[in-house]
Amino acid sequence: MLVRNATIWTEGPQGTLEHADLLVRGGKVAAIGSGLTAPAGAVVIDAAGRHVTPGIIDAHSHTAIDGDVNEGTLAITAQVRIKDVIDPFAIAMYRELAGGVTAANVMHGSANAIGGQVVTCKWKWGEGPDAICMRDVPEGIKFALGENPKQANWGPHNRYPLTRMGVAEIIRERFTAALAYRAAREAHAAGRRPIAPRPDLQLDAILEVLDGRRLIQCHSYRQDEILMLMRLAEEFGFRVKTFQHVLEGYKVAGEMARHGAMASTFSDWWAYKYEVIDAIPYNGALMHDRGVVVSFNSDSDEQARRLNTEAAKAVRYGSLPESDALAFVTINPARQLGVEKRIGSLEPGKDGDFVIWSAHPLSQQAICEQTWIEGRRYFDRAADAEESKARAAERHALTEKARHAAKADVEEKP
Amino acid sequence: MTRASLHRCLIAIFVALALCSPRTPAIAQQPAGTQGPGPKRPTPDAATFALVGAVVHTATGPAIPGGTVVVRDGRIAVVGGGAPPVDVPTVRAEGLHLYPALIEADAVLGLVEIDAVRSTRDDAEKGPLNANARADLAFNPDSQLLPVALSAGIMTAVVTPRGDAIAGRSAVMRLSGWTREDMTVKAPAALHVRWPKMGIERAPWSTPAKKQEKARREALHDIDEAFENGRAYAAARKAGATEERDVQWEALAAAVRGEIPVLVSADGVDEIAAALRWSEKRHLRMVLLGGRDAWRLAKPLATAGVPVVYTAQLALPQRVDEPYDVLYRAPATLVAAGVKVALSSGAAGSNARYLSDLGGRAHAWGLDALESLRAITLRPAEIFGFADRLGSITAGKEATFFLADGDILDTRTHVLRAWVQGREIDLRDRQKALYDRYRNRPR
Repeated sequence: MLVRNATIWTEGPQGTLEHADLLVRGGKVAAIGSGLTAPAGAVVIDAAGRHVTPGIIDAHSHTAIDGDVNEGTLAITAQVRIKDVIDPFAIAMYRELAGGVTAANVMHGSANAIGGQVVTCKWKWGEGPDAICMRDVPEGIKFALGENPKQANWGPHNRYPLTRMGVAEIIRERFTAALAYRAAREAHAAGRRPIAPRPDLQLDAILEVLDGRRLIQCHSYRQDEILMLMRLAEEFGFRVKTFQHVLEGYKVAGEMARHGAMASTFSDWWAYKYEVIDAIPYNGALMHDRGVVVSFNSDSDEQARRLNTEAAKAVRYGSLPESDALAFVTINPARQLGVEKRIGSLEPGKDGDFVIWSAHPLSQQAICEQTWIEGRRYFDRAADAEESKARAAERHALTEKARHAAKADVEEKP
Repeated sequence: MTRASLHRCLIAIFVALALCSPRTPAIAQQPAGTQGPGPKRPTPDAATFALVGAVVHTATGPAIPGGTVVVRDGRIAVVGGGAPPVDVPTVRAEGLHLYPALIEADAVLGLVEIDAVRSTRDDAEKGPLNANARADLAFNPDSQLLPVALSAGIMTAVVTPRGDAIAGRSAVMRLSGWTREDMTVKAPAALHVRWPKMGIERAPWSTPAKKQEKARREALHDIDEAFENGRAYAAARKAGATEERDVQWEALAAAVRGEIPVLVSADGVDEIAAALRWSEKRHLRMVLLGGRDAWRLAKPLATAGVPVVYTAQLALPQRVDEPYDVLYRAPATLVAAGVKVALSSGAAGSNARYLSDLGGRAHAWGLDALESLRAITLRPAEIFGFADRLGSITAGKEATFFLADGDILDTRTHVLRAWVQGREIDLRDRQKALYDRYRNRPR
């Protein structure tokens, strides 16, 4: 398919191009430039006056989880997996598509220090969970620090840990246990130990973390706990991939950049609990300035529908160049999930995931008109309006029918 | 640096700022938050000046490009396109945009500091009958949240109690000042009633339907009886009864007499419809607050002349089969039907600052630009009855306005300078101070 004559924000080496065309073939971006010709039989969209961006990526989502978000019974539940509970028909997914979101990092909540295995999804609404969970990409794990795992704002306080000291130590204890578990397995394999250790799904996942094969996505707020986890990881010889929320990241941005940690934050939330009292909306800009890869996320089915204007807040607070701000919801979250070779920017060879906007994508006036994933249209505003009309008519017909049936019921009674 | 020494450092900055006061403050060349020492404080007599060259968004009609606004003694004397008078200092604002201060119509600013810390919350009193509760008495003038809201162009807020049933009385508060007394614009502003749930939940875990019906009947009865008592009390007072005095009925009587509007919080169709019927029966000046499903009842609301403080623009549609954008479009739907609409985030005080984005969003989804601006300026002032003083840039009103470097309905715009009653205010806040401190951390 070919989109013609749009302002294209590639968020890649080609920068932002005016009056440009985007050619997608076989679900992949084939070319971006001017005067491209459509192959025979291709769908051609005239997008004059429109803006095209890469699909929006939400680096922190709880959308489409069937049932509870937290397995909060224990402090460590590294064994549980989001990919087992994806609901492919969640209406929230469709509403996010209508806001230009094409991919999301779907995670557990932050009730426990290690919450479980998370999954990177493409919002292929209505297809099976297998199509929705991205394949052959790095897998992640949710960690959490601070008030939530120590149960500061919820009870009944009968679960260790109750302090930041305990949160740090329970993670260190599990890392240590995982190494011991591996040593025992290796000893058995080498014949130095008669019985293999009992398989442990939790420690299996933690070993993947220690080996750098499972990326940490760590809920965090305060600078002390951010430093704590980085130093712990360094001690065990691996790196923290991404800190989530990370509202005091600006205080230790240099340390994060040197460690190699990335940051997925809220644009401007603060003061909702004590540990975010020093949160500032300049956080993203300050971390970006010190070389940290920054994204803005939603953490909310509602806010996920308008991440483009969340990105605009990096212009309001910190005066970022517009293309850098848009990167906060496109290529940067892709980097944080280790999928930057597949999605996040419009470059030949990458997935054909893009959005057509009615106006400048960082403007409040931008309305998402179409959302495409791998060259297939998953949202179309015009079609949506037609379907809405049909649904309203159907609802009306059904309620009328029910009303008549109820009336007949009453009349039949002696 | 410890927290205490950070505070000392902030105080030092404030003192330093207070000491430098040029006659005519220069326009900040950079967006707020990226400049060094922040805007300079004006001299004490600065409540008389002329602001020249800005695009003046009056909120009453089309914007005036290159307009002149003359301020005398803190009030707007002249708005127009002419040359400024020679006897007053001028503030040059070419290329900038002047807006009336934004008004947050449903705030907990000053009542709640940190949501999760109970000791910092004074927004919801216990029990179903608190007509006498007054938000202005619990307003904390030194809340850290106020300067942050000021930085977003919000200089006035209707601070509202959040309890159940009859929650109390709101107050219109300035967000800049010294004490809650000099910050009060109008108190009480309105009486706040939270409408009970009308529907019956039929989930497996719900309480039995009969019990729910009973609870609903009782809740409705309690509200109605309170207003009946207020009516009887007002009648008795009018007839000359003087011995019996009661703080509850006293507070209710003012609403019954129509001296203040009754803000009814309701979101669902059934709740809104029931509240409408009830307020008509009782002849109250109802204003709908929240109003998620109000777009379904736009006509009856318009007919009844009931304004809406709409806080559900960014809520998720309630039903799976509702159009995804139905609540985005709700402000335009209501206005098209003839309903007066103010927009509010209805959110935590800390999130009040995205009020201008709500105006921008309403405009994107069908409300014209002027009406979108009015929804966060003039309309709240009209609904709560202080439009004689605030809400637009009009001769005779208070000179409470701000300068921005672009369209305030666009998220990318920065608020640069602001005046309250003609006096320039300091737009520094805790967040900018932290920004400056850590921006300058050695690399």
